Amino acid sequence: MAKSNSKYQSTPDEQLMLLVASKDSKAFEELYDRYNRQMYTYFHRMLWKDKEKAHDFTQELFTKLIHKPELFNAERNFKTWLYSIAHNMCKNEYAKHEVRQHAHSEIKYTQEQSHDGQTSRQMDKNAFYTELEVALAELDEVKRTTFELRFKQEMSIQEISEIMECSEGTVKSRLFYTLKQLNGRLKVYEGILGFFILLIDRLS
Amino acid sequence: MKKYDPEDIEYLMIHKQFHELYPEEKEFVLQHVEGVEEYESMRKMLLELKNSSIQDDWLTPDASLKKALMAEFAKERKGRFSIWLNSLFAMPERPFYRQTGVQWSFGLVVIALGTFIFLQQSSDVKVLAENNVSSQEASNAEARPGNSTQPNSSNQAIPSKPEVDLSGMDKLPQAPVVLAQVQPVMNNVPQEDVGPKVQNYKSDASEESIAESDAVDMAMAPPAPEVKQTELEKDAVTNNTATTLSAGASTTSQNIKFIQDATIFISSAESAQMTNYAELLEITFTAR
Repeated sequence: MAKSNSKYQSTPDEQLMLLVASKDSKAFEELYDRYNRQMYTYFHRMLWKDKEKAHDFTQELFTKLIHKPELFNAERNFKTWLYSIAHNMCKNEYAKHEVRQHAHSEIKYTQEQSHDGQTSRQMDKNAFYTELEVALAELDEVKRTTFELRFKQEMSIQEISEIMECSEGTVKSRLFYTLKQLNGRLKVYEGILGFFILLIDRLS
Repeated sequence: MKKYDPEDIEYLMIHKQFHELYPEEKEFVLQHVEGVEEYESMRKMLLELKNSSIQDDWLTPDASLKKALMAEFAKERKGRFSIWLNSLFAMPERPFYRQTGVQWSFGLVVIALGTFIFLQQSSDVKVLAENNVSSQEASNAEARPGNSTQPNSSNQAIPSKPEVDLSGMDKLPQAPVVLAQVQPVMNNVPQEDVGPKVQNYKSDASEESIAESDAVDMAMAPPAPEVKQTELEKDAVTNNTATTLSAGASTTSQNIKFIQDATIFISSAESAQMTNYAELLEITFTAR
């Protein structure tokens, strides 16, 4: 058992996906173990931090892998392919609902979370991230997705361009203007951020 | 001056403070930001986002999700096979001719019939070929002296030849028939009567040398039962027939080796000439 697991652990994603197409359950299990947290977190953040929705969407995403593995092109990167499916699922969901209504309910939820037994600096930092989330919620879907993929999912510019089906220059340009917009909202926290960045620079 | 694109700003912000930028870089950056303050605040936010540990923020879904997915996967594996099996046999909602089992059975029957017919035809061809050979042998035997229906153009005496007993030839041996030897007897054959299509390996040899070499060959060759020769020279062949007589390889005999290469063309046009020539050939069939 251990041997087969280690065999799959060293197998690339694309190879595993081909094995899934051949109905290899171990390969599917390995893929799930690799990507379930990422995808669940992505759906959670993109769908207004609704845990139930994130659970359903994650299940639906992996179910698509089970039923239609032949849709995967082995020449393509598996990770970007998976995220492009997730991105399209979120787009369809946005088309059904209005974003702003959920953004308001999100502000209330996150602000309530931030005041339990923390130091003032921690609270300030938490307040910064809370405000960041609010600001992100007010962005349009495209900018928000670009920001999430870049800073929360840690994807490269090239990967984002593949997922969103646009050029790398477009991705960089969107990122810049998103940062500029967020910066306008978060200037009040500049001092706190400056302290932490200084601390990181000293320690590194 | 180096030209910068807006997408390069992120790289500059991450790696350099404003006072560290080159003049042309400053000029470029200031096209997109209001001033030093905005540059620095954006830089701080960018660094904070990049330095925060993202993976610690990843959530873990409920364990029931994995269970449900693995069950779904197992079901998918079974499902396709069972659906296929069901379709082989009676599915009432489908018409009879569309049921998979019926279609497959029909296909198998067609393939079996086709194979049977093909094999039958190939065995018929084989039998026909064998009959052809034996009929030619028989006609050759009939064309021996005394039975010839065409006049001998050279009016020369035709020496009698020992008969070859082909009575056992109807029961064909398992091993291939070996054409052992062709002995031309040239004494009574004018050169012009020698058919050009007959390749005679020993056309220039004398009788004595041939006899000697034959003796040697026979001594070297494994003992084989002698076959009494009947009239093998053909006479009344009306159609051009090319017959290649090929023999299995003899392990020792040079003559047998020649026989492997010998090709005899018999044509009706030259049958008269060939009759004379053929009369002079002694063909011994040795069946191993």
